[in-house]
Amino acid sequence: MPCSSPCSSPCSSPCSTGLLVLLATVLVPTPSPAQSLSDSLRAEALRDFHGPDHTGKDGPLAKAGLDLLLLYHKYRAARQEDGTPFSPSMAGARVADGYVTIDAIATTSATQLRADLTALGLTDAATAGRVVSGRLPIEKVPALAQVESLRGVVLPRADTQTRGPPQPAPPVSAPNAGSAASSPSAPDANIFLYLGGVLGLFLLTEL
Amino acid sequence: MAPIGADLATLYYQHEAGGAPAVRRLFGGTKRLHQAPEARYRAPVSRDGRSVTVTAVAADPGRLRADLQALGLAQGAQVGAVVSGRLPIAALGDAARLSSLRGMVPAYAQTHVGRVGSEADTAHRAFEGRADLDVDGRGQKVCALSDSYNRSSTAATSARDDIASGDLPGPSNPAGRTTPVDVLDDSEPGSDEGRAMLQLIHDIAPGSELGFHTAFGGIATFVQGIRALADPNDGNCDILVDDVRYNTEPFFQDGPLTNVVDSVADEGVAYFSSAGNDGQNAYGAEFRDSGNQGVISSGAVAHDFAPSGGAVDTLQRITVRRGGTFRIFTLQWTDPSALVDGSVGADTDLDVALVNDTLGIVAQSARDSDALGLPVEGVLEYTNTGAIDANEDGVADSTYHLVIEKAAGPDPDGVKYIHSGFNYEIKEYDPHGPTIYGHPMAEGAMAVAAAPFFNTAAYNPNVDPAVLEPFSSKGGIKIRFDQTGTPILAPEAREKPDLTGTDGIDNTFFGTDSAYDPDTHPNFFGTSAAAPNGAAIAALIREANPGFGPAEVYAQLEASAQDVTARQTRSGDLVSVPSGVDFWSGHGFMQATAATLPVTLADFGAVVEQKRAVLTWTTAGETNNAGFGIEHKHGDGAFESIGYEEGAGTTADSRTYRHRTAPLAPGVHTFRLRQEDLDGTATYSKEITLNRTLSTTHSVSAVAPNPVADEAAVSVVVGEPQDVRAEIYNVLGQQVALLHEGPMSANDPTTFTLGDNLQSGVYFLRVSGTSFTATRQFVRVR
Repeated sequence: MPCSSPCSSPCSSPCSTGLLVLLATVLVPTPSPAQSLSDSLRAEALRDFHGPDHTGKDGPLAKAGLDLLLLYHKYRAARQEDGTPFSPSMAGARVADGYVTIDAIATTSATQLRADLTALGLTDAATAGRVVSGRLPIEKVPALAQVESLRGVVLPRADTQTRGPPQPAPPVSAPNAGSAASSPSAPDANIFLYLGGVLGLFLLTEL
Repeated sequence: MAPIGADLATLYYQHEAGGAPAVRRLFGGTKRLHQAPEARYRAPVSRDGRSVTVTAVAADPGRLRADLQALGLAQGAQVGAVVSGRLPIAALGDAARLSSLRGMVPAYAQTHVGRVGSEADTAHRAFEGRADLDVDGRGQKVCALSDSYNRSSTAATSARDDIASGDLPGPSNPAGRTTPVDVLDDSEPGSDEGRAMLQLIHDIAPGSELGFHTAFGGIATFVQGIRALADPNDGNCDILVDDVRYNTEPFFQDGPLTNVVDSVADEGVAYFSSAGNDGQNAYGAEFRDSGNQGVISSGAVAHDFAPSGGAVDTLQRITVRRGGTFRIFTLQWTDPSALVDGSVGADTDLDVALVNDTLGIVAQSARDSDALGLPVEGVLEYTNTGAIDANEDGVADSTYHLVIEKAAGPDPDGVKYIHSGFNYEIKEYDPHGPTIYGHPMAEGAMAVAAAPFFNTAAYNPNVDPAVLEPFSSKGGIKIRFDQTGTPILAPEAREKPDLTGTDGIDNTFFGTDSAYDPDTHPNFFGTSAAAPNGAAIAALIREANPGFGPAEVYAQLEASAQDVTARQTRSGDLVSVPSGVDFWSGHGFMQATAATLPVTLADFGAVVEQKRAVLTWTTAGETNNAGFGIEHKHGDGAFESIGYEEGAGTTADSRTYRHRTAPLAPGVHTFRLRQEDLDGTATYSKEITLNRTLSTTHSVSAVAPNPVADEAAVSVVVGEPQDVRAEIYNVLGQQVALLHEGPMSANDPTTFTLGDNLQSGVYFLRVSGTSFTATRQFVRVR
């Protein structure tokens, strides 16, 4: 049975168990070589982010953030395998030609930060207030974490507001009275008949 | 009349016999315009009975278009030997006699642009507005920000294809709309959604120029794109629209994108943004310290989902069925954001994790948020592949739990996240809540909700005017921090969304075909598709109303919108939304008919002729226009009515009005027009100021009344500042009164009162300055 209240009785110490599960997930090798490589890369990223004690967010490269560090280690591993194109499994990371799009936040001066990041190879830089956006060479992620003018960095996650075709929302089949909608129905056949007629009239007229 | 055929000849003679009213009797009525099936096929005669849309074939392609334009052809376009446009019915007789004309027929289908038309054009009745007021968005530049314009390798069409088919403007556009889309930056890979948005705009406002800049590439890139498009020396766009949201845009504070939207709106650029597709998919609550450890860090404390007073519960149960995906795009808490220039940043660090039944973490987001200064986590995303059976019961898990934990800092007042995905369900503690956030919340922007075309009055007789999409985002998130990061004592609630537009719109490549239309074109769903319609209608309004700024455009759209009172739920049920302005539909479903595009003052000016002001103004078209009241004020005085000019009622024709005032005193005069509709409503024009200066060095009016029984007045004006002396002398040449001695400013009339202490007799008023002397005689009687 699932425990719905892990940190209160009757469950016994589930929170610390959760942490152990996480660490086990990260650190314990599994039979799959691919899985093993992935886990080892993640462990390296976690070490950079949390430090050797695996706690807190005070590792040597913490300022780069866990997502970028994970991306960096995956990129580095991919480059060591000849001919392996790098396609990160990290949803939303915009990666192309060894560069990753970032939003960097300045400690104080975005001008200084932009200059510092440009020195690291940032391209297509844009500045808005404290934010510097652009494409950074992935291999420069460790160096990024050492930039003094940088407060922090995130992988920008943007979404458009498009949707697929409607599934639960067919045309309303009764007047707006607040009643439940009926099941989806096919378009009225008369529509086709009428449109066909009008189109025919149009074609005849145009010809 | 043979070249114009029987239909047009009949129309011509009907017009000759009875004018426009006779034509309207034949073709008038608006009922057909509300009928769904034929709504995109419209009779060619304008509703005012004055013009007809024609397709003409040239005997001399080099001359026909010019010949027809000389007869009044409007919106003319030519492809090879074919010329189309709107021709005055009264000119059909002359047209039939043109040697350059081979033949002419009425054009029955002119309601869409390019190969693929727009249901939104019908649903918002924009084709009516265009036809009745002869507008198509000319003189306006509408620009979109989205992922990409022409980068997709999988899209069914390219930009070149769309131009060739007439669905976008460009050099090979068959309708002669050859100004290419102004692409400032298309450097980010994407689905070319921006091109689909521009197609929708082109359908409604085919005369508008178009532009594009990617909104991807980071928040600063988005900000820079907005600035570039609005810059008169760069994109020079009049209207902007976007459909992009960043997950770090603050919920509770105006961020850099919101601020730049407000900034360009202040500079005169109207801005439209999609409201979002999150419905009320939001969890929100005060942060409650459970006293229990978190699952990501043993040093963190978990949030208690159970409302106060209940048993502590740090797990929120969520079902993610096999193949389903659960996603938190953004989780935020009530802290200010370091994204905002000049603001303090977040001082609390919350993290979020999705765990299985044995508390194994399957997805998490755990930034160092207080160091970063951003009160944001996300994206957290988990897809159930069926690989997890944490409790080893032999069945792949579908039950998971969300944990929100505080890693550092003080307890925030509140925490909120917005979720999305498919085949998932929040099983507990799901309060629903508002989801519109970020720059659509800008006061300078119009956030646009969505209603599918098949649930609009034009396409569905069961609906009036529209039923909202189940996913259309609800407004209501309050702004809690100012630009310094200081909490606002009374958090600011903004009326969002602002308007509702149509989605599910045909285009050449974006989306998939809907089962609810008879064609096979892809349908573009989402508030991404609704917002461009607002931008396009704004282009029609601005063309019809030169000088309208964003505020006037927004006010017009809001005032003419029809109240939306129903929406569909995620489960497909139909439920009501509050009447009037509400957090689901805003002011309602946009309208673009002539009645909602107001009387158009294409020009309003004033000049001084002799001592009078001559006011002239021109309307591009009129709808229910009773007339114009002319109002005037002198100096700092109040406006007073000084005249009235009858309006033309409803007409698509341009009319020019002229009003000559009574003689004006020197000084500053301000005029305005009060346009009155037949229903009694009225709107004021902009104000025109004139400075009537003296052509000579001075002006001294006659003493009036004269003879002076009690008191009289005299007005003195000088053309240049100088010392002036005003005295009264009797017939013996003796000074009997000194009215003024001292400086007078130029063109500032001074009125003196005299007669009060004078005996009966003849007197002389002498006014003398450094450059003049004037004398006025008057008689005092007692």
